[in-house]
Amino acid sequence: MEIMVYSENEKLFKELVTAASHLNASRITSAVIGSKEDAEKAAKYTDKVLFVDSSELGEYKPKEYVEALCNIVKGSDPQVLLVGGTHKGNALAAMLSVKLGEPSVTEVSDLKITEEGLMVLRSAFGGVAVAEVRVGKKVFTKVASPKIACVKPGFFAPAEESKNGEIEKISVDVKSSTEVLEIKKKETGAGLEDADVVVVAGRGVKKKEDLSLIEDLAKALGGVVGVTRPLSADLHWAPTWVGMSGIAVKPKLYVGVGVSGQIQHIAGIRNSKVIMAVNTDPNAPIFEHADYGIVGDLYQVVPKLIEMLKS
Amino acid sequence: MDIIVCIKQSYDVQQLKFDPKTGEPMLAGAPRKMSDMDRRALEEALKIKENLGGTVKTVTVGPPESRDVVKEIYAMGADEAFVVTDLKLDKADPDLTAKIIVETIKKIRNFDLILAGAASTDDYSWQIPAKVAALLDLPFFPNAVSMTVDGGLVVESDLGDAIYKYKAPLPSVVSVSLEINEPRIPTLSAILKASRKQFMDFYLQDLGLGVVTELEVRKVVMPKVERKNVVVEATDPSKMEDGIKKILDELRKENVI
Amino acid sequence: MERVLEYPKDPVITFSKEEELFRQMVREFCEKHIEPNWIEVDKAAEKDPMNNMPVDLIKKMGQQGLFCIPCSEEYGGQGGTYTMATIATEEVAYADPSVALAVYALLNNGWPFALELFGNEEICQEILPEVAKGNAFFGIASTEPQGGSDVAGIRTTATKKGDVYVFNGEKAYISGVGEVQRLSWGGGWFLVARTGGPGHQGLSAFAFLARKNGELGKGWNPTIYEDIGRHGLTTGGFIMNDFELEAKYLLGEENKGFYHVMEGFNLARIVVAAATIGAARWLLEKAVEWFRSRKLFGRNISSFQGVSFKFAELYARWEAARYFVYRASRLADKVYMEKDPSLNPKDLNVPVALAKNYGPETCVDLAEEVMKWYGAYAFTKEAPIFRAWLGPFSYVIGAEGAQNIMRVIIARDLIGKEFIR
Repeated sequence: MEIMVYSENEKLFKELVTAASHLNASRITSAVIGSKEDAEKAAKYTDKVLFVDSSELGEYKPKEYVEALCNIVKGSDPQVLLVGGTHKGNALAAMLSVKLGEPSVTEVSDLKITEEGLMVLRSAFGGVAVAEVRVGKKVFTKVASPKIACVKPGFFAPAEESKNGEIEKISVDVKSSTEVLEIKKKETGAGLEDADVVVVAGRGVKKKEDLSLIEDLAKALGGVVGVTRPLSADLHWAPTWVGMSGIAVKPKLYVGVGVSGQIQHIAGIRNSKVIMAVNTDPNAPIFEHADYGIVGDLYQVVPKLIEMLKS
Repeated sequence: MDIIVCIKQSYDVQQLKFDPKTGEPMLAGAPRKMSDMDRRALEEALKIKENLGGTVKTVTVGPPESRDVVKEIYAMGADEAFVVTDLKLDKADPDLTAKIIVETIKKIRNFDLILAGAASTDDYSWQIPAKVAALLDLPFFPNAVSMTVDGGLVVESDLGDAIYKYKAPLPSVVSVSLEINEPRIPTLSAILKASRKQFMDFYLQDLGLGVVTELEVRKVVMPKVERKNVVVEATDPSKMEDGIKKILDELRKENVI
Repeated sequence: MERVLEYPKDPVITFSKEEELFRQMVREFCEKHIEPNWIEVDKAAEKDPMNNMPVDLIKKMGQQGLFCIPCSEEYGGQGGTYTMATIATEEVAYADPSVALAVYALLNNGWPFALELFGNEEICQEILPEVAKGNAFFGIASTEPQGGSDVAGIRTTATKKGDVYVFNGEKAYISGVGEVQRLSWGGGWFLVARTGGPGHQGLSAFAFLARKNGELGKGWNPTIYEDIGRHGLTTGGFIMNDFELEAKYLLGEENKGFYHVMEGFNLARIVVAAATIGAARWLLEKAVEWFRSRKLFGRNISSFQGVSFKFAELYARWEAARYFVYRASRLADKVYMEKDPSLNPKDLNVPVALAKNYGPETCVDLAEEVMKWYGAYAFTKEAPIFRAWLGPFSYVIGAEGAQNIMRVIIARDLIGKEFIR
């Protein structure tokens, strides 16, 4: 069975390759919308690369990129298309599925193929629960009509270079009525997804200047700092946040400082090996989800923690 | 400007309870509310209407309880609400929902812009606005954090690694993020006026569609939270050091520091 | 915020879809603006009640339409029922269990409605829109230093001189003395003063504006007290020294003021009770959260029946208090909104007394138990529980009608006036 993978994100692309091999693909192809260099990189991981030169297409525009992806899919015969579950990927998957007449499923954390076809596990209710979903009532029959699954980042290990795939250029002829006026790069969240230790500041941290205290704790623990959604989206203390629809972390140690533990945040830290929380409210929901908790004023506890860690 | 807003009545996930034995969600009679991102979409539409004039119409698809969301839709200030219901629509998948929305939009006929929340705040599929765009063959702009209509439509989409600023043709479909605005909270007098307003009520079969889904949900479970829950008190300064020491010892045992 | 307690589903106390949506909207407003701030407000106002008054929050509440709910829309009100005012008060108290903002809300719903009942068109047009917007305060000024419960013994005089009344006297323990000075327009009170002979038949009611359009009236001398709780709302007194008020501000009929203010008290007491059940609900949730997390001797604290049984008793009293409140508010709606011909305002006396007697005492008893369950932590100012104890306690001490007066009202009505003399 051929499985095609697509993601504009290099790391996620490698994770999709691993996911595809877990599905026992006999052949893994990759879709690339980018430069020739991108295609050459992808060729090291998959059996074949079908690529559309993005200089012919321009910057990311959903409608136009879907046309390109459609041409790529039709240029091969995948039964399953794995797409990196980012905003960009989800939009393309959703629209492509309509064009192909095949189902698309998102927020996927695991997949397998059974006699019934493609089965996935996906986040349900925003990460509070997990749903087992059968993707498509009809089993694989049509040509170049893949079931589409958008896989969440961080659930598969990135694949190693192992192949020397063939590269085929696919042409696309798209007239666009959309103009990209500007692209403002966002600072990414300091490698939170891969960190071994993550210290997250929540609403209990009263001032932006106090984040330096959290950074000191992170340093003492050998980790990086993140924030909860309100501190990023509302207060703009950081470009991104840890939690559902933000960054999901899976460190060995997660420390929430002044974090109350709303479901949306817990959804993003669930896979941490050890969860620790510092909060002044003994009833804060985070304590239910924590292995270790300290009830106290973070402004007194955190300096003490740092002091005792250093000694 | 004539705007159509897709609004779902979602489960209120904060209030959702799970059976402690099976871990399954207890959906029967669970509280529902207007999906948070759809509410932002409606607010955005109302702001555009306040600036430029025009109409704001809404489309809601779901089980019969979905009709309850109309009161809030009208209390916020929409002009006309369209609702399509069927008992089985709780099981709808994104493709079906998008199809039904599109059939309803075809009944509405004239529009300049379609808005929707980027994802419903219970299912979080992140797909429906894109599918609506594909079915209508319209451009799509995901996860907008800002929109201006000033001679043309300019959308700023937060696409994760960067914010893309697009000049969008009309009509287009735009999905909005939670960050785009702070929706108004209707006053009592707005609620009272809204309660007297009629809405367009359809059954699914009126549209000639049936509940046919490609995604089949087999099981939904809340994974058991199995954490150690070792908590120490550190409010009393004299006890703080002992408490912290205990935790640090445990962390060392766990090999995480 | 996750609700620990479900709001009871009930075939007896039912709410229309509009009332439920309204409650949801009020709760949303409270979650956003009041819940995150009430403790800071209480702390700051304790230090300086005049300067740290939550003026911004009051303004926001006004914009959200939380004041003058039962007043006509032509006067800037919401055109709602008294039950809706009750719902709003309950929710504000649930978000601010120190009840400072809830009391601001209840006073500025009950007494403006009483103003509309007894005031002429001109003064309603002048005062109510400003109260609705959160620019003016309108409460009750009945109590005097020598007594509150003995309304008939009021000594402040209002002497008619041409087309003004001249006021002399002193009022004490009055809410809003600070607010009237600080809000942009000003405001005043439904004030009772003596215009005629002794006893209850010589009293009149007035829309006493100490400050209007930003200007203080002459001869009005206020002082602010240092309350022990509920700091976000000021309490104070004022001396009137030949204070002049135009005659148009007379409410209802001259020398019938005693009866008018009693009607007003009935209305206000309903929402007072609503505030205490709102705060009580917060306390119940705090108790349940504590029970689910606190372990002692290796078991949950609630596994001790001395604790769980007490909780069950207090929960029962809370539900009962709730019934009293909404039964009274629905009756008030029948009397004033539906103008049911088989009912008259006096029919509210006992139902309201029951609500006002039962609600505050239930809330305070509950607060005391919750503090005991929490233990030493509750004795520190870090814990918010004591604030939910002190605020409602003001109503057990006697604000808006002493608890024993409520008992007198009930006893007198059921046993008969002659038999309890």
